[in-house]
Amino acid sequence: MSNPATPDGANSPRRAIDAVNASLKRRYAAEKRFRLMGMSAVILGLAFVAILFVDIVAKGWPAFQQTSIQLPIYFDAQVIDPEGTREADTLSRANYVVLARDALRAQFPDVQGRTDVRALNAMLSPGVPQQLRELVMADPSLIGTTQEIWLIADDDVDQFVKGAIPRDVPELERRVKDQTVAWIDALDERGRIEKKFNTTFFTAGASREPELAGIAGALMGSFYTLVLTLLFSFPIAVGAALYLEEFAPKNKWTDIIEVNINNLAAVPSIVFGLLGLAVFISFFGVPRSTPLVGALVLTLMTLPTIIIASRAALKSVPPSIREAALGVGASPLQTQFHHVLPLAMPGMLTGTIIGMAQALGETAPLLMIGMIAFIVDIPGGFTDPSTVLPVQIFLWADSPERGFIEKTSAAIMVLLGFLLLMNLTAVLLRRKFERRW
Amino acid sequence: MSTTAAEVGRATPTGAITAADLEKDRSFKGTIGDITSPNARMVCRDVNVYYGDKQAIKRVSLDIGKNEVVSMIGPSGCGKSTFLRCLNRMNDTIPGCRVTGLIALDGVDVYDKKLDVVPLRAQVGMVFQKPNPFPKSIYENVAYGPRIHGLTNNKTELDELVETSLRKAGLWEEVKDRLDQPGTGLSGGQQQRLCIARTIAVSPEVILMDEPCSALDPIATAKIEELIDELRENYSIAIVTHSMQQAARVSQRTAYFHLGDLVEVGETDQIFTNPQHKLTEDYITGRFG
Amino acid sequence: MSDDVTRGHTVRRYDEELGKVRGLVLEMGEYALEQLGSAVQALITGDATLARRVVDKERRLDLFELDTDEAIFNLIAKRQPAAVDLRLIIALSKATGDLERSGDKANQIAWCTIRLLEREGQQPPAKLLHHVRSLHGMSSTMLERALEALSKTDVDLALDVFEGGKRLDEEFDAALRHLMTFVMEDVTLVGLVLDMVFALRALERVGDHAGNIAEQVIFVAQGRDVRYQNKEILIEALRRRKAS
Repeated sequence: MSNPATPDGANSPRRAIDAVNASLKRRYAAEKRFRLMGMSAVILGLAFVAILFVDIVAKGWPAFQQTSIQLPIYFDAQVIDPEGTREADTLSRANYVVLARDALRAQFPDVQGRTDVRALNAMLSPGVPQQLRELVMADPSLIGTTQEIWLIADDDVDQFVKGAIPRDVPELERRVKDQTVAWIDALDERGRIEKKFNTTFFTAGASREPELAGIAGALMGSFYTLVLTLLFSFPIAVGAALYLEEFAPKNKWTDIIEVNINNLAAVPSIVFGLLGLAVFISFFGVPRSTPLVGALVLTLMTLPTIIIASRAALKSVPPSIREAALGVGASPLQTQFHHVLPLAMPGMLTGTIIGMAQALGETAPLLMIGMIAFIVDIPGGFTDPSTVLPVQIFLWADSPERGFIEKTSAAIMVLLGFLLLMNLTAVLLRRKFERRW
Repeated sequence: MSTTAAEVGRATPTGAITAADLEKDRSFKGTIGDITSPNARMVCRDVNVYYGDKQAIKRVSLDIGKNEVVSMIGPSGCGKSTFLRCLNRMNDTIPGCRVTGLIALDGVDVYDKKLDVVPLRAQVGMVFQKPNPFPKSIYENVAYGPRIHGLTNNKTELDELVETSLRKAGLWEEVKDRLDQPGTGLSGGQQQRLCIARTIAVSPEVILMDEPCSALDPIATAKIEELIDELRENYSIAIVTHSMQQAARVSQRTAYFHLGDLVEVGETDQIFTNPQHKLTEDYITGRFG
Repeated sequence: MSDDVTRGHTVRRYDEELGKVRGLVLEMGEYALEQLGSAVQALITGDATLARRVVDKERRLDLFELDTDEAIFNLIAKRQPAAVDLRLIIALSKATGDLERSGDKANQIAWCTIRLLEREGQQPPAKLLHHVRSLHGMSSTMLERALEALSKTDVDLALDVFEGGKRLDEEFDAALRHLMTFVMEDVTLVGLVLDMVFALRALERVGDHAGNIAEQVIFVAQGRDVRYQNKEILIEALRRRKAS
């Protein structure tokens, strides 16, 4: 504050505004510092999330492609169906391996010796016979003809083609030997090796072979489990919330119940697994590793979350609405069901979706109730043994095969995709139905 | 704190009130003015309200007559709203709230254990401080009460009832083209008139209004006041207000509450020109600390 | 009634404004009393100059009335007074009118003096002035009391004013009869006596105005409108109520 018009300003008592101005710089600096700290915290968090996502996507992306080898397969009637009955039983039992191996040998006629032949055969996945069987079963008229078929390559070949196994390391340190590399190159030259979209990943169940493993089983398991969890937990939680918030007298007992509900939300999930094991499986005899028992355990786990969210939603309904309804003579139950519940529903649904998302991502309690079992078949019902997505991820992450690394990441991507979708739904629901008074 | 005559004179909350109790209390302090109304619709005698151990209303007696507007004024926390909410048992919803004494509507004790509170609230309607329309359409807001009480037999009758209610509330002309739009989209004053329409749709005998204009601008307030004056022809109205001018404008009788006591009741003209009690005068002239 | 009725509002500006209006009215009363005193003085001493000064100063009183009315007008508009405040405001408004008319009476006495001196060329004989003196004493005391009662909202003082009014009426009657005897003795005195009666009548009217102000004091203090009531019965009723 420099004002040449008042030379005696120095003698006059310091004005408050001068003090304010003097401290202004310091205050702005403090504010700037605080903003910077906040920003950097957010950026750091985002960076880690980005690193995680980039890493997972980078690792998982190749899993959506599968290397295949195109071979002219001669569906030899002598091998498949020597008697020409075309019976399903005969067709399914035929020795399809031979067909594929012969076709591959035909590509490399100069390969001799048991070891080399075995190495050549190993280029094809153990799933190839099944692939051919399905083709023939679907269309028996193929028998006797020669078709160009894309056959699934073995996971080592797949990894090599995708570049996961580098070419320029010594042969001894490489899973794919020079000889195989030469064959792959030869096939590549002939345009007989290619990366195709991996449908197996979405249609197959668990398998020991990475190239044959898929998430369909786990997805269906998760689906059945979640459906049951929703059916169990939503009505119970909403009912409990409604009673506690609107009807229960406020006394010591309801206080204790409230504290316990809040505590339950913080109990480690594995404890729920142990409880499920002890109560549902051992005591009630619910079949283990089924979506049913999984849902029961997850219901226990998500109940507190949904109850707390539902109570918050009920609390957020302004009391004036209740008064209005009571004021025109609605009974308490009518008040709740006609007015309060519809207004609280978006909040309740949001809470439920978040609870469901939590259940979808839960692993630990399911390990305790046997949902970690290796199940090849895709479950078809609530009482079929099954596994769920996060457990599948856990299993794959534990597998030694190179091909499972990318499968793990791909499964994580699918899981994250679903979680994102559910949370997005929650946000949209809230946006759409949220009311302001 | 020393025991005052009032505390000695007060009956135990649960015990029956004897004539001697009444006499003792009256001799200590009584409401100034005539609490009775020649055409009493609601009769309240020696009403006490307790919130837990705290007594919010002390021996209040007051009549609400036919075709009259009784206004209740007093400083915050004086118990006027509490008293109003006793009249249709809205206090039932508050835990720990206990009411003793007699409150009768057309000779029927509203606190009778056998009495159902739902029809009572249909007879004694309530309009609240903040306009609180249901977040539904204008039509649904008015139709809700008649519907749950089964007042109409078919859609035509319901439509008519909705229209007459909205007309009585002076809102019909403003909303007749948009009955299907949400009631929450109306202006504050319109919302409050919608709430009044909702209340009169169930044909109450008494309408309680708890500071109905405190959230409204002066023009909307004037409309509501005009409406109150019109409604007086068919209903008994008890209104709690913080605005003394409003009490003076709309009511025929005024009751002044102070710390749970009904200090003075009288013709509104008299209360505002020549109140008898010092407390009333201090409050009305703005001398309250 | 020791409490000042203008005090105690939560809004202190209200106190100030109410006090200011009352101050204006009291000041106006002082001024009216002064005018009355000067007018009577001029009559008694035959001082035409003083009488003219009274006439000149009459305008001041009108301005007082305008000021007071405006202050009252603003106060009603802004504060919406109720109960005792409202009664005080109304009483002050009415008192203003009474004081203005009291001032008019002083003016009339002054004019009367001027005309009398011009016609007669000398002051009236002392025997005729006796009643003017005594009636002035009584009416000005009444007015003083009424103003004091107004400033303190004192019912007792107001009752004194009523009693004074009774005595003033008696005194006025006695004075009239006495002056009549002069006319009977000497008919040439008739003009002078008429002037005296005119002045006495003005003084008697001032007493009435004082009584009006006292009525307003009772209205302020008790909210009862006691105009047009038999004052003897009223005095007795109020005294009895006070005693009980």
